[in-house]
Amino acid sequence: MCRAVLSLPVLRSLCLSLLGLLPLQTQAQAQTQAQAQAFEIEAHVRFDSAMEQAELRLLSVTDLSAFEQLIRDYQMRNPTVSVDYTQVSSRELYKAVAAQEVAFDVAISFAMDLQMKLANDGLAQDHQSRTSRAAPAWSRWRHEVFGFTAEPIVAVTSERGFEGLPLPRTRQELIALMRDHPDRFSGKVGIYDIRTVGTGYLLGTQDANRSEAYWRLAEVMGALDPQLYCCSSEMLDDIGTGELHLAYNVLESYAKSRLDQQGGGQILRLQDFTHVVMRSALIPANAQSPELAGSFVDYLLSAEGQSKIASETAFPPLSSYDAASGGPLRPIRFGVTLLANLDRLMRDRFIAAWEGALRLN
Amino acid sequence: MVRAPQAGSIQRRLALSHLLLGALASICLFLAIRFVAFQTAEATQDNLLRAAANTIAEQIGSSGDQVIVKLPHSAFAILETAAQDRIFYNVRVNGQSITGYEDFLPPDATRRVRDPYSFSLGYRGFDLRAVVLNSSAPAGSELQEVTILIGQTQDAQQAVADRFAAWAILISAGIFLGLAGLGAITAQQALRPLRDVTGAVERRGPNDLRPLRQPTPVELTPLTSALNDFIRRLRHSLRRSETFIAEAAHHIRTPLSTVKTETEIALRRTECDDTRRALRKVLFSVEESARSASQLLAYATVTQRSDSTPLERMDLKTKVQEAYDALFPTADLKDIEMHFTAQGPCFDIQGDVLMIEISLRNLIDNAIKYSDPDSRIDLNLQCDGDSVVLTIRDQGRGLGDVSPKQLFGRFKRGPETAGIVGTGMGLSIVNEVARSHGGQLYLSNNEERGTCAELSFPCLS
Repeated sequence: MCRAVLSLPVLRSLCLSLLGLLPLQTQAQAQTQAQAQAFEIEAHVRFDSAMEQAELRLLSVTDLSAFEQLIRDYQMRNPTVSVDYTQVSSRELYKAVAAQEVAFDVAISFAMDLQMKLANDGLAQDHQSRTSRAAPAWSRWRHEVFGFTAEPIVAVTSERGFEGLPLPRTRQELIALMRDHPDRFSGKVGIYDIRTVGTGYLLGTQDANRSEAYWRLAEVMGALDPQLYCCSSEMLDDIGTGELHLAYNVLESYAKSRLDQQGGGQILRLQDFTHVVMRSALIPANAQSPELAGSFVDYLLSAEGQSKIASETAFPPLSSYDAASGGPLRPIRFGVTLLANLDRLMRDRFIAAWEGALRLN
Repeated sequence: MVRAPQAGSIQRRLALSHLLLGALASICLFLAIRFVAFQTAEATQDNLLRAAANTIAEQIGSSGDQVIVKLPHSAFAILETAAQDRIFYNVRVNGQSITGYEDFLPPDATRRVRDPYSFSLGYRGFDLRAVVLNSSAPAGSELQEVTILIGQTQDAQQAVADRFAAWAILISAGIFLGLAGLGAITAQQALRPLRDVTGAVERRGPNDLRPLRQPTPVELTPLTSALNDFIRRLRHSLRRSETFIAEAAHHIRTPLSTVKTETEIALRRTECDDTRRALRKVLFSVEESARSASQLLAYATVTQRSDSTPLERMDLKTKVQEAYDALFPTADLKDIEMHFTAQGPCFDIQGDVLMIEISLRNLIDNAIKYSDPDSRIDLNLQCDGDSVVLTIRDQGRGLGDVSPKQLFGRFKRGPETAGIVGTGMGLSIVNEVARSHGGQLYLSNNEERGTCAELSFPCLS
């Protein structure tokens, strides 16, 4: 897939060098290609349109299976548009957009801090339309980053592990429970390795900013030989097999769809606070068809798109979070405060504290 | 009224100057508010940037020969704005970037500045407001320099300034409208005394040559003084010419009566027919001249008296009766029947007795003069409550084709007056008297024959 994307320019440079034309430029182009390759592609699919007049190039971190219905629906409304879908990891997405070597029209990611940094650094385009302005203010940053899902972050417990115990409602109760039953929970608590998982790091810092309870929780977990994971799927697998009794900070939508298949677990929205993260789209500064990109962003935010998200994907639409209601849901907002997450000094300090609390060193 | 040539309008000039003043004042105010708003918003932003820089500076420490810089979360939180401004930062130790945007650098000139220093600069195509803070930390045996640079876009500041500018527009527009309205009112007020004087002069009767007694503002007194002086000179010259006429008439009349007496004596003594004929012609001419002289005298008296003599109450019926009695013999000589009737309860009018008498006599005398022998003259006096009207109908030769108004001029005589002694002064005297008493004189031809004269005066109820 990756090679297919690059084949055309490579061919062209080959032709040029064969003709003996502009050898310097060819060299420069080759260099550019090298930089363009500086991000790893996980998957690449093209949704061809029979009446193709334009091409929309999507760069996304989301599994294609989860997104396919949305793209098909969009194409039904815009039949002349072919969609080129490239799936990458969130860090690779950041690198690809920041490098500005390959042009994408829309970049979709759930790494809010990285999306935020791209926009802050002027690497995203302004997009304003009636639809985009109608989106709730908490879901976007300027007119550059647009959140289009609202996904609560939850804890998942195994039914077997919590047998005979009351389900904790808050972090305080969870701390007390684990402290009171060290034998049962030892080696059975799963968390992200925030040193390598961006989402884990983002959620960790947000938890720590919100409440002191985070550090006490980390300390209690540290005494229980916590298991570190790279991804939520493995955590949920282990909940299913009984390897884990508790998985902390998992995307609710993902947990739900997994538990629907395998069973054996419960989803726990902690009542002291439950963070809500947003999947967001931005239009890179070097997008080749910004109007088309705008139409796709508008589609994601529109009533049709949102209802399609609710019915066809596992992601909860924006409307699932009601800003007016009280309740424990706390959306993580786009803002320059998120940039602090990406600061090297901050990160080093936070990870050091985290490692200390979890007794990893 | 004769229109005077115009040169601009004071009112317009006043209003225009207020408008200009208003426009100038509102523009100045708008610029001032906008400037102050922008400065205030900038000062607010500078304070926040300094607070953020200070928050970072407070956390600088050292361990061994390492400078330790911690970026607190709050430093970023401080810079969250409603307009969602971008931020850029760079923290350097001894010129080496340890975190943030490595190529985001302050101008060299700020290197030695100790206090937090605010300035504007551009970075990545954005216009930023930035603060640079130079600090130092002991590390090992020496002092290490730590430079904190934080920049932020100015959208929030612009939003505040824009909001103030919107207010400034409203306030400026209000002041402009206020001043414009005030200008219109001021112009109106300032010119009122001038309009008052104009009105007072306009309302005057044609013979009213009294000086203006109305109090006027200081600025207008030169004008009213000049006007009064002009009126005084006018009155003076008018009076002088009338006095002259009176004296002249008098001087002519006296010798004429001597000539008349002597001629009559000579006529009685002479036997020669030729001489008699010649003497009769002389006598006729002398009578005509004497009549002219006395009419001139009457006219001069009338015009002279009209603006100075106090008026008194009189019964017009009595006056008409007196004139009728006095002229009845003259009519009788020509075999003219003259009748006087009166209808109404009261014929009192306010006027100058002498002038009324002169005018009545003139009018009746005219009727007799232009009537043929064996004809009839009707005098009728009526009162309709508002005015007393004397109507005189004769069966004489009438006015002819001439417009009655033309006959009111001095020395103007109608086409049907040939062979009859007359001066052309009679009707102008009557008209003058009627006008100065607020009354009127109408002349018209009778349906059948002769003239109808109507003389009216306001009635005293």
